[in-house]
Amino acid sequence: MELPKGKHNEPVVRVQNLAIAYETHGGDVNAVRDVSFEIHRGETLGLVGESGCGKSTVAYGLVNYLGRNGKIVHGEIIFQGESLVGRSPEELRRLRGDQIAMVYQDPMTSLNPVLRVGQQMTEVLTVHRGISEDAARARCVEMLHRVYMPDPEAVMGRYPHQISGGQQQRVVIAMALLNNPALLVMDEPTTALDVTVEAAVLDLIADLRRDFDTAILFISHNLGVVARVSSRVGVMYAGEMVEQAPVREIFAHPRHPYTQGLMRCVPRLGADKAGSVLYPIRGRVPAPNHLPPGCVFEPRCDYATEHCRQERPALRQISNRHMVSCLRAEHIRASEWRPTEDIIPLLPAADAAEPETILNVDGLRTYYRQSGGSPLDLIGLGKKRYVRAVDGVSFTIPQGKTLGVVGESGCGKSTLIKTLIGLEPMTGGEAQFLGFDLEKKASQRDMGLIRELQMVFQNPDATMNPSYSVGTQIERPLRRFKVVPTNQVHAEVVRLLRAVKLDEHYYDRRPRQLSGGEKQRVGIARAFAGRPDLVLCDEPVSALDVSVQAAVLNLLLEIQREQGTTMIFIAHDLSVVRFFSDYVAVMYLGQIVEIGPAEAIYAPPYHPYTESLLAAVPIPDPSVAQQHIRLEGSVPSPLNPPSGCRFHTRCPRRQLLPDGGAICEREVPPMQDAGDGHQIHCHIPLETLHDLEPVVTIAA
Amino acid sequence: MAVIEQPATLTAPARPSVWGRIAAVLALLGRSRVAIAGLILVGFWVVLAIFADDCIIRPACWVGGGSDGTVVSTPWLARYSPFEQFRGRNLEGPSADHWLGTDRNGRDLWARIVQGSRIILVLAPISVLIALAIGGTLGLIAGYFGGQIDELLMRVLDALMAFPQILLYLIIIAALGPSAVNVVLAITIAGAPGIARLVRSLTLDIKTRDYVAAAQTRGESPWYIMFVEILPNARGPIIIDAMLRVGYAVFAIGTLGFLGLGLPPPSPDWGSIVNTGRKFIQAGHPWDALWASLSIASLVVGLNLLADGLSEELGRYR
Amino acid sequence: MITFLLRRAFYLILTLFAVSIGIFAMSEIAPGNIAINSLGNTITPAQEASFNAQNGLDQPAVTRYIRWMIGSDWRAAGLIGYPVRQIYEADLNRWSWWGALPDGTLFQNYTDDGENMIRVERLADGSTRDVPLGPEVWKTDAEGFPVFWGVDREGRAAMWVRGDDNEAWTLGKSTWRSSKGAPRAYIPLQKGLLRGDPGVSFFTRRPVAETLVPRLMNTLLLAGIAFVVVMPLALALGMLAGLNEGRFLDRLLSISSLVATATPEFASGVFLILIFSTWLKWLPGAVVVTSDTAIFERPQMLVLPIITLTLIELGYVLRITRASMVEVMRTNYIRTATLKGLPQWRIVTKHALRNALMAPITVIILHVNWLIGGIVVVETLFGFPGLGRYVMEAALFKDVFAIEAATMVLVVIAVGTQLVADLIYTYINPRIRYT
Repeated sequence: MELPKGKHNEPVVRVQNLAIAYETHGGDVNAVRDVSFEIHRGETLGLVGESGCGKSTVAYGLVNYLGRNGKIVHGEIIFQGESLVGRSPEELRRLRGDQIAMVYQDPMTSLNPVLRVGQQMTEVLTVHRGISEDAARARCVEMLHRVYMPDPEAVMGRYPHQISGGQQQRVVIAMALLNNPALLVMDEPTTALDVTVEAAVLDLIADLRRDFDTAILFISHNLGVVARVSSRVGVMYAGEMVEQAPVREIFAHPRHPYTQGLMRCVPRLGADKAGSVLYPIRGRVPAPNHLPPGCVFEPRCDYATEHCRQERPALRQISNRHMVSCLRAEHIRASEWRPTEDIIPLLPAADAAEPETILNVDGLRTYYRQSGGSPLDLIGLGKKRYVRAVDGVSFTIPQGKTLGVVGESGCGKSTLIKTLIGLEPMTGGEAQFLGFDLEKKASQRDMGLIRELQMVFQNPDATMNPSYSVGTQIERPLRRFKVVPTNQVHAEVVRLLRAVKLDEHYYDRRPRQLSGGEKQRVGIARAFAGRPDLVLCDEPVSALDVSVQAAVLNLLLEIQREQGTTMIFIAHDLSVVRFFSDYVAVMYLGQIVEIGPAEAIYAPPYHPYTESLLAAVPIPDPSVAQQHIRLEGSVPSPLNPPSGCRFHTRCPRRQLLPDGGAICEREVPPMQDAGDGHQIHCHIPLETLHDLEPVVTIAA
Repeated sequence: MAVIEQPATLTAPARPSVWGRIAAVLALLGRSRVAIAGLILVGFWVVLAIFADDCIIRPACWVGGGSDGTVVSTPWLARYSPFEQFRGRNLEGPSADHWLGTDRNGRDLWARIVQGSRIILVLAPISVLIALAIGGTLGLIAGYFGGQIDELLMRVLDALMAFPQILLYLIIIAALGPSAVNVVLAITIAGAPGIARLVRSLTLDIKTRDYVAAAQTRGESPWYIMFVEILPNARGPIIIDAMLRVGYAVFAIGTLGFLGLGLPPPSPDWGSIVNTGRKFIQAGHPWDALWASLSIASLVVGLNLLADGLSEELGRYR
Repeated sequence: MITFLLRRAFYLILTLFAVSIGIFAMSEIAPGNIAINSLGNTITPAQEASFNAQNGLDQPAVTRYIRWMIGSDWRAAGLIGYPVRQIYEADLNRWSWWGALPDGTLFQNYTDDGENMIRVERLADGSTRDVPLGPEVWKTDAEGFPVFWGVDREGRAAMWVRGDDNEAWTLGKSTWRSSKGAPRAYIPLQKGLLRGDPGVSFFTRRPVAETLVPRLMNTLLLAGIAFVVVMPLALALGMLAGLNEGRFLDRLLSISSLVATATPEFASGVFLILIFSTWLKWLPGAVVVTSDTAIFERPQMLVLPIITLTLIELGYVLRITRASMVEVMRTNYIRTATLKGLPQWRIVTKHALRNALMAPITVIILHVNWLIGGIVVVETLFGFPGLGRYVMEAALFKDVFAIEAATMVLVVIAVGTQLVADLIYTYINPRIRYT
């Protein structure tokens, strides 16, 4: 997506040596230092980096919206030839929403809950353009059409809570485009959305950039998302821009060791644990007030020399349009990199013997009673309504293997494992584990069963009780399950800490003194303290930065191999699930639509839903060609799921069946066995599914 | 707004001692001028209450301490006994002898005000503590178990809260008669539902955290989860709320005294002093009412300032 | 939305029901003997028993609760066979109960010997005449006794037993009077709270409703003015403080409102009286009511009570509004509005105001409970003849029916305002309106 040169010589925005600081009790904290970039018309600059690297600060610095304690301490922002720094609030106000528009991470909270969509949109025009209310309305409806909003007239009269998350984000985008701004700043615009919705919004953004010729600053932590929409990519680390290059160039030839490290952290779609290894970046991001004297990345860099420790590198041009801030950029090659010993996972060879089935789930159902809205419900006479969170799920897992469960939010994957572990009561069906029946809730289960069945949680900030030290929290299961004699508990805690790559100094630490990755490690140590046979992992890495994510995944793999633990692994990231799992189940609206060995799921034949999920995954590699399959509409309510095949309302492949798939509405799809335990619940014959083109093809 | 994620400082002391924590809290308070003002006001009354007389070192006068002044204690800061009547010196204004003046029975107002602070600073925290124990437990139960138990408890507490508190006091005191125990009882009953509501809402929030789920998957008992996993994490808001509630309790004890429903005379209850004193305002002797009003106002304001400053500082660091 | 409001209304009614039982239980069942409280502790057990019987206090709690809530006249009418009616006897300046014959003649009954029932008929001019009734009026009851149900001379439904020589004690003007041939059982006649008759005060011997209503009106006047003064002022100042968070104006308003809310009414009242009445002599320090219209003739009497009452509310509402405004100004949608380039005034009026009002409205109206506490104190301090002082006096004198009635009125006001709060909340919050 190179732009023809010479046509857009003058950039829309040019940022030079920008430095932004926040005032805190402990003095000023420099959140952003020495950042320079420019964006031309029709160009999208993607800004990537892990949390706390200052990308959002740059975005809000552009519009000078830094809160009361933030300030631009240094540098220049030239917007359309004029400086923005030091402008009066009134001048800035006139630019905002007119020449510079923004799209935010969380569309729900970004829209005013008490005003109708129409009111919130039209005011952008009436305030900046001074046109009449009617003319503004007409223009807004037109713009909503433009962002593919179904039924724009009606949406204008709705309140934000009455439309879906994807539609809310379309409204925010339409609102930003109303005045045809020269610069559009998008701060993680798809992070809060499901993968299929995200894909549709990313398509929209690409379309709009083409049609409106806007300059876009696109911020995301997700390399795949950035790869899909950007023409150029800037990588930020600890408040500095460390590398900047055209999108294909940066993904093909990353020059900065940090960029290279990031790429090694994320599993490629299709990669698995048998054939590839994830390499985390060691260490952690330095605090803005404790920066190393030389290169900011030096403490974590494998190539660092004494020189790097002393001199701070500047962003410099090393080839055509490729800039990097590394003193040794010319000397390092990603292909020649060899991992240092401390980050290679110690993976003992997997047991080759044919394993036994450890968990057998048959027709599991979990319904929630929905307290109804009718007056009759007040006196308990209302019709009983149930949310069918999990509705007839069956599978088995062999000992020592991992079952990955994928699906969009609301598909029931979390409820499934909460039911298995006894946090939610089972409504129907059966689950057998090591001869135990998993029917009872955890509080009524036998201690032996509880010990063998543990869980790793999603949110690192909530997984540990903030009131107790790390040691106390790991001790509790040891004492409760009487894993070791009382006098050896302390030693065992230390052993567990070491096993999760933390040392015994962590024993007395409080959770608030730990980073997200460290908390997650403690959570893992706690779950594995009783040496359970089955561990359920509920998105254990999705809240972590990619470099930490890789380390935690490696850790889980190591412990699993060592202890022969069986796992159920939930994630919404299809690449991670593919990498981590032996078997994968795809869930939609409380049911499994496809299940089988991981490699089988990611190649035809697949269920149309799996196919659309794969088509939606953002892949951090611009050279990969992905089929364009997008789902229409939104997920139906689990209170009243569609008849027949639950996916029939959105299925893009129904046309493959005679009479447009009328059977899908009437009949529950049959289970088709594609061999090797690969099962697909679909009316479309296996042969037809088999002949579908693969979604992802890697370009030569 | 972009928030800078502050990686944990690794040099922080691993396990702060009790004194370390107190020092940390004081340091936190020291940041807020509002909190310092509150601390000074409350501290003033606490010191007066403790060192009013030598009872602090002679437990006998606690046991035998009748309101009739039969047990003789040696006044320290109070200077006189609150019950001693100086003949011919009634309804005097402030003087060197009697710093704040005397009441209609010729009793020293300074001594009465100082001794009154002791009454209020004992009764108010006690009633809040009892209300905290009852309300906190009910709130934990309602919030943690949910469902029918929650529904039932909340309906009952709603009914209690719909009841204007003053009427609750009136009915309870009218039925049981005015006494220190009944005052505490009335304030406890009036305060517990509010605490229960607060603790319930905190519990509802905290019980969704993963560490609670982790405890459940360990098969811990509901009581362990409620009191060990949930309650300690709700302490911040509860402490601030309790501080405000001590303020309200002081307020309520004063009001009851003023309405003649507090401690029976001649005990130097601030509210009662205002009540009897206000009759002499028009007669040119405003001192009883003025000093007692000032005392109670300053104590409640102090407690509120303290709570306010603390919550603001805590909120800033959350 | 309808469902939401219905649900709220349903719970409020449930709450009121629970509260009424609570009030009834605490004032009538709790320790403390109504007879002794009303008549003094020198009465004999016989007198006490007779008093309890005449006032229906010996009946089961459920019966008494029903009588209190929905009355006893309908039940009595069934037993007597004629409807009963309450009339006002202008010459005696009192309300009394009579039976009504089909032709409209009002009557009461008595017997001197337990054998010959007399019907006292009331004539149009207010005088009465005795009509002796024949022995056929005695009916045999379920247990085989010959009994007669009628209205006794005190206006109670009563059951006489033929040939009975029952003794009853009544307190006359100042002495106890014993009478023979008294009824065996009584049903005190009452229309019930729900029909506007909460009973007759044991203390003043007047219907509670009669004394309560004017007091209620006075209080509504006082609280109404206070409310009208406070609300706009407090909301405006709160918004102002919230918009200027951290600045001097905010500090000033925050601290003074904190002092205002934290100072008990009796203390701030004393300060105000001292300043404005004793020293400056601008305003009267007490409300002296000599006639029904006195308040309107000297409205300056109301100034200090109103200020005293408003100070706490003003501070409270200001603080809540400020906090809400501060919170709203930090939300993402205000950020959106700012970055849309809207002028500040438009952001405040269109985007912040309604959201910032949402939280305070419910909280403020729930604070009516506190306002009621303030009213009791302020009315006592200034001698204002309102409901607060009424309930206070009733509590001090243990005037059971008066406490019950006044408390119920106040609770209905408190709970009613909650429903109003819900209505307003629903109106300004589309998330509830459209679900």
